[in-house]
Parts: sequence; structure tokens; C-alpha cells
Amino acid sequence: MTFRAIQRSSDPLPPSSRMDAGGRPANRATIGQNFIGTLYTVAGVGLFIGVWWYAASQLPRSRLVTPLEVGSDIWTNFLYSRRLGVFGLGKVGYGSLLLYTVGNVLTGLVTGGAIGIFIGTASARLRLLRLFVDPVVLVLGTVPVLVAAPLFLLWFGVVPFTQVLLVAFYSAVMMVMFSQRAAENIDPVYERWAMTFGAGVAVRIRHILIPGTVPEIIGGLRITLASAWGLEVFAEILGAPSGMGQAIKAFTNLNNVSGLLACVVIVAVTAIVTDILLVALARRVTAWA
Amino acid sequence: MDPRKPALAVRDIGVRFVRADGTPVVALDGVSLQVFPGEFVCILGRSGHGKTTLLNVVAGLLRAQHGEVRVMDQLVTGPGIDRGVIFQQDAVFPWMRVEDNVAFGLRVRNISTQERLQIAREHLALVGLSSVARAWPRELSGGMRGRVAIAAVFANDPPILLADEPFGALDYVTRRQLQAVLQDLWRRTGKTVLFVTHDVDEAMMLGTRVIVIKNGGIAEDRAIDLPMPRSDDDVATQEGLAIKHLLLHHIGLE
Amino acid sequence: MRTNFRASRLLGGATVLLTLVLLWELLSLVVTAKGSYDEPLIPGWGYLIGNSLLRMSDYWGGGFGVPAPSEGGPATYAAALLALGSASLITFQRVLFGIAFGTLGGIGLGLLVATFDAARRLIAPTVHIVRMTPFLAMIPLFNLWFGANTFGIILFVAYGVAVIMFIGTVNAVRNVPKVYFDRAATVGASRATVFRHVVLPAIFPEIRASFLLSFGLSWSLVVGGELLGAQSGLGVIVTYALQFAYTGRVMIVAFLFVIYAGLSFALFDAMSRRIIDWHPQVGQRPISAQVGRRGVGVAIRQ
Repeated sequence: MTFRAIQRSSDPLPPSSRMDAGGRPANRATIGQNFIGTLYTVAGVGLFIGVWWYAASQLPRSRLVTPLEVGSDIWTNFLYSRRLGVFGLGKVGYGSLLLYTVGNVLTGLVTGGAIGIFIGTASARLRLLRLFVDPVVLVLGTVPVLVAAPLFLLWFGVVPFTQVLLVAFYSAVMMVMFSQRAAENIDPVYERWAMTFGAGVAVRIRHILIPGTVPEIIGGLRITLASAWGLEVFAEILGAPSGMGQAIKAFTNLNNVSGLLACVVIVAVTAIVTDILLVALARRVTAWA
Repeated sequence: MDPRKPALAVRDIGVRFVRADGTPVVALDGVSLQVFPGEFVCILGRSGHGKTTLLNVVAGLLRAQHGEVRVMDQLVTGPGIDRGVIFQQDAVFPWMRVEDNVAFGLRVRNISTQERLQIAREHLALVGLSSVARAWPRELSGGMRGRVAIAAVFANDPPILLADEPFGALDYVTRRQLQAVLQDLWRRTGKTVLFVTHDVDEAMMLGTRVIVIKNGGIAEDRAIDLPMPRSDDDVATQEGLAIKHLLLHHIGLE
Repeated sequence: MRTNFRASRLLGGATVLLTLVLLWELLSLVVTAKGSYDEPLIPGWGYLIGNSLLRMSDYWGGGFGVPAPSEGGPATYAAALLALGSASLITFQRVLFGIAFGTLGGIGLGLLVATFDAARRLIAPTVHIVRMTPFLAMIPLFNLWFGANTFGIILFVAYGVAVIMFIGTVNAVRNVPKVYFDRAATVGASRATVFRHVVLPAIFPEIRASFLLSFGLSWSLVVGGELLGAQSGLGVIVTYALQFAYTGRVMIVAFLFVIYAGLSFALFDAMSRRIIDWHPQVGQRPISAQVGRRGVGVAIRQ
């Protein structure tokens, strides 16, 4: 008797390498895996909102407000908020403040990141440069970049440049580390093969070094971007002409919990969105990976 | 063990997977076989034809949708200490010293430290690794780690031994050496062995019997009555070459 | 060969450090502009030690036989060092407890969730949201909920560390090669044995990596927490200094943080390397040449 019927199985699995701590396989190759996955995501988000709502109902309003209140706060104050005007921020709403923050983050990340990537990939090749870059990066990498924030404020004042510089500085250091590692991780066999075809340095850089490092560099950019958000908001709280950080500071002083939560939610959502965009970009550029 | 009763009985095992894109794959299509005590059965076949799947079902690491496996007439429902396994991947625990790795199975059975280390060291001696008993696995070569795996399985003394292409990743010389080690231990202990391989020469050198798996089913089940221990000369006889050609034919090379 | 490499690295580092020190002094001589309260924008080393460090005594409240300048006592280095020392201790305490609670909580929760796949998948969206919310942006919230004091800061640091350790732990467990579990199953190991002898050792290297990450992060979180509203600790000195634009004092505290963070990191890194001596990449160089000299038929490592 041979086995012919084809039905959905719930038991056996192809050799997979994912396990949970109980020693049982964590991945299952069943039809409808995607559907179950979506279900889990929806349930997971629901869980988050549910816990928040429950906590808000149990805690005083001075500590936590419901997701609904935060949502409506964002809705009404996005374009213009009377409360913020009191703080000398001008005729603004969350939207324009967010624009300021996003602008600074991206400017800092791109400029600092570009410098970092350049130095990082170059130093992976040139030993002399490496000797110079490594100790600097080692120190700066373990050190909280935050300590520079008050210094920059003193030196450059309450201007956008202060925050952009902080973000750029941080991004440069991080991307040097990531780019170095990315360049080192390229299998030397690729270059050797290229050399047997007579490929010169420029060709090898363009066709091996750059494409080979892109996946890991974008991975590093993701991590750097996530931290850059916090750095920017923090720097804004310390002192800035505009930005979500200033709004947070204003609401803290006003003891306005819904406004404070609204700002945090906006920042979090924007961070998630930019991350998704970066991942999408990565997928496009590294379709081969 | 009664030599007339099968040590291992596989009855009508059917296994199918569903690939990530939804297409079904029949890995094993109603496979049945019996292995008697003391046999060294080589399961030969090309990659993807089902031999590793069969081994995993016998080991209890994979559940079949259909059929059953009995070891000494006991139904197999999962992995057990009656079936030792030498894995295809390197399963030596890197965080345990060599002798602790070999003694691991004994530790699980709550055998005292002194006793289990002694048994471990005896087995390390049998595979020629006495000098590295306290070394970390990362200090050993691939071949040496292969010996550790063999020693570990034999130290636990299971009646049945299952091996899943354990020497595949090694160079020719190391492979031949480990085959000799395994064969030597098998002859000393009289275990029943199920050995999966894609290498015809390996099957010829090690097996008392060879089963060819093709497309999820058994294509050939042949005894190899050549002398043991086997030398290259024994395999190069007329009888040996006849078997080899038969196997090559089933594999698809002739 | 190996010691040469290390030595050249140290030399390179020392040279860079020296160069930076000299460049800074040069810069301070070139940029002679002064901010408010007559504080130079780029204070040279002489000013930093002679004025900024000395004036740290302003923050000493008195005790240990050293009078407080605020009560009419002289500005002394003893008072300055006591001020910095006591502030540093408070900050240390926050970092230490924050890391401790965060690590325990993060790993504990991580192991729990990793055991039950359904649980892991259910809280995955929450974890993602929490992880993507910038830690530093949460400081005002933590101040609101728990107060801008030691308790609140410890909790904040613990929160950040816990998030990193949780994610790291869950990933580490998922990355344990299945073959180790299979092998344990074939020798009849119980779940407890598998947990103790397979899962825990196997995830240790990755957990260590996550820990080093959160180590660095925790210093940032402490600085952030103290800069935004704390009443004691090193960060508060910066807040006071900022009010008067005392660049020099801000720099000294910045240096201290740099030294503390760097030293503690290096210390922990060195200590923890010992424990994972067995790991192929992290442990010491293999002694393969010695291994295999004796024994019949033992293959010599190529």
C-alpha cells in the first residue's frame, strides 16, 4: 500500500534549524503559515493596545491616558496646537515640529554616515589609515556620545546645527565600525578571481567592494538610524529652536500627559516608518543577497 | 537478543513534506524493511531521495504520517537511548571538553562522575584520542571530532546505532581512517548498525548488506558476503565488482 | 607575532591620544573667544585643571573635614575631588543596579518567552514597538512615572538594558543549531538537562555580545537620565554648569564619563573572555600543534 493522499499535515517537518528553548522546532512548513502569521501580528498589536488601555483605566490620568485619547490628541493638534504656541515655538502643530526633527535626523545620518562609510571602507584597505582610525573609533564607540550634546549646545547655541552635528558625529563613528566590518567580511576569493581577469583596483572597488558591503552597511544604517532618533530628540530637549523634543519638553513642564504621550507615539511611529522604508530600499538594492 | 527476530522493523513508512511555496513532496513512499541483530546495513542513495528521512524516522526525530517502526518489537515514538545517532552535522558540544562530551549520555543516565569518566576514557582510548581527553572541541580537527562523536555514541552502549553520512565532510584519508575505527568498534561490540551514505565505495567497504533508496522507495536490498574486516582487495574481486556495478546502476551512473 | 600586533595598536592609540591632546591645546590658543561669565569657549588644559577642576569644589556640600565653598570655605582640590567622587558614586550605583536588574529581567523574560513559541509570536509586535521607540525620548515619561531620582533612573537604565537583553536572548535561543537538541534527545536527556547543558552554554556567547552592547548603552542612558532632570550624580553637575555656560566643567564631566565607560567596558570584556575559553572564535588560539602527538592513528591537524 503506497502513500498517495495529499493533505495538510501538522506534524513532520523538513530539517529546519530553528528551535525553541524547550527543544521543539519553531518553524513549521504548513500551508497557511502566512495566514497564521498575520493573525499573530494582529493579535499581538491588539494585545499591546489592550494592555495599554487596561493600564490607563487603572492608573490616574496624571500618569497615563488611553490610546484613544492620545490618538485624538494627535489628530487635533497635528497641524496647529495652541498649547505649543505658549512656549515660543510659534504657530506650530506636531506636523511642523516633526518635520524639523526628521529633517535633522536624516541630514545628520546621511552626512555622518557617508563620511563614516568612506573612512570605514578605506581604512579596511589602507593599513596606515587603519592604525589611525581604530583607536579613535574604539574609544568613541564605547563612550556615550551624549556627553557631547551639552558641549555642542554651549559652542554653537540653540540652532539646528547643534543637533545635526551630534547626529552626524554619532553616525560617522557607527558607520566607520560597520563599514570596516563589512569590508573585512567580503570573501577574498572574489577579488582574487577578479584579478585573474586583469581587473584593476578601481574596477574591484566598484564591482566587488561596493556591492559586497552594501547589505551589511544598510544593516548598520538601520541600527544607527534607530539610535539617531533618540539622540536627536534628546538634543532637542536640551535646547533647540523647534522639534518634537521641544514639544516633549513643553508638555513635561505643563504636566500634560496626553501631549507627552502623543509626542512619544509620533516619534515611535515615524521611527518605525523610516525603518520600514530603509528595509524596502535595502531589499531593492540587494535583491541578489 | 534473538538473532532470528529483527532488531529493527520498518513497516510501510510514508513521509511527505510541504515546501514553503506549498508544493507537496513525497519523501518516503511506503518503505518496509527488517534489520537483524549484528548487521551493518548501508543505506545508499542520491541526495534528496529519502535516505536521511528514513534514518530520522527510525531515530524518532521525525514522525511519519503513515506506518510504524519497531525496535526490538517496541514501537518507536521518539528518540531514545536504544538508538544511538551519529549525526551528519558536527554535534559535538563545543562548550564541553572531549571527555565530558563522550560522557554526556552516561551523565544523563545519572551514572556517577568517576564511573562515567572512566568509561569515557576507555572509549577515547579505543578511538585513539586519549591524549586529548581534556581538550576543547575547537582545538581538534574535523576528523578528531568525528572520532569523539563515535566514542560518545559507543560509550552509551545502545544496541542500535544510526549514522547519517557522518564522514561526508572529511577528506579521503580521514574518511578511510574513521571507517576503519567504526568498523573495528562494530566488530568488537556486535551492534546493529544503520549507516546512511551516498558513497558507493563506502557502502561496499562497511556493509554486510546494502539497501538502495530511490525516489522514496527501496530499489535494491542486497547482502554483501565479502569478508570482514574488508580490504580494498576484497572489494575488487569478481563478486565484489558485480555488486558494485549493480549499485552504480541503481544510483544512475551506469 | 601576536604581541607585536598588540603593541603597535597600543602605540597607535597612545599617539592618537597625544595628538588629540596637543591639537586641543593648540585650538584653545587659537580660539580665544569667551562665552558668558568669562568662560573661554575652548578652555586649554591649564584652565581646565586650574580653574574648572578646582571650581568643582562649588558642588561639595561639606563633610570629611573639608569645608564647603558655598558656606564660605576655600575652593580646594580636595573639595573638588570629593564632589566629583561622591557624584560619581551615585552615578555608578545607578548604572550598576540598572544593568543588574535589566539583565536579569531581560534574560529571564527572554528565556521564558523563547520556550513557548506561541508566546514569542504573540508579543513580537509589542517587542518591536518597544524596541523602536527611542530610549532617550522616554526619559520625560520615566521622570513623570517614577520621578527624576535614583529610583527612576535605575528603572530607566534597567528598561533599556532589559529590551536589548530580551531580544538578544530570544534570538540566541532560536539560533542554537537543531542538531544539539537532536543529540540530547537521542541520549534521553530531560528538558531540564537540555536547558542546563545545551541551551544555556550554547547561548552564552551571544548573550555576552548583547551584554556588551547594553553595557555601552547603559552609560548613555544614565547620562541622558541625569542630564534631564536628576537632582544628584555627575549629570547634575553638567546641568548646573550649563546654566552658567561653564564649558570647562562640562568638559571635565564629559571626560569622566568617557573614562568610566571605557574602563568598565574593557574590564568586563577581559573578565568575560575567560569564561568562554571554549568558544572557537572568542577563546584563545587553539593549541592544535601540541594536540595529537601521541596516540595510535591520531590524525595530525593540518
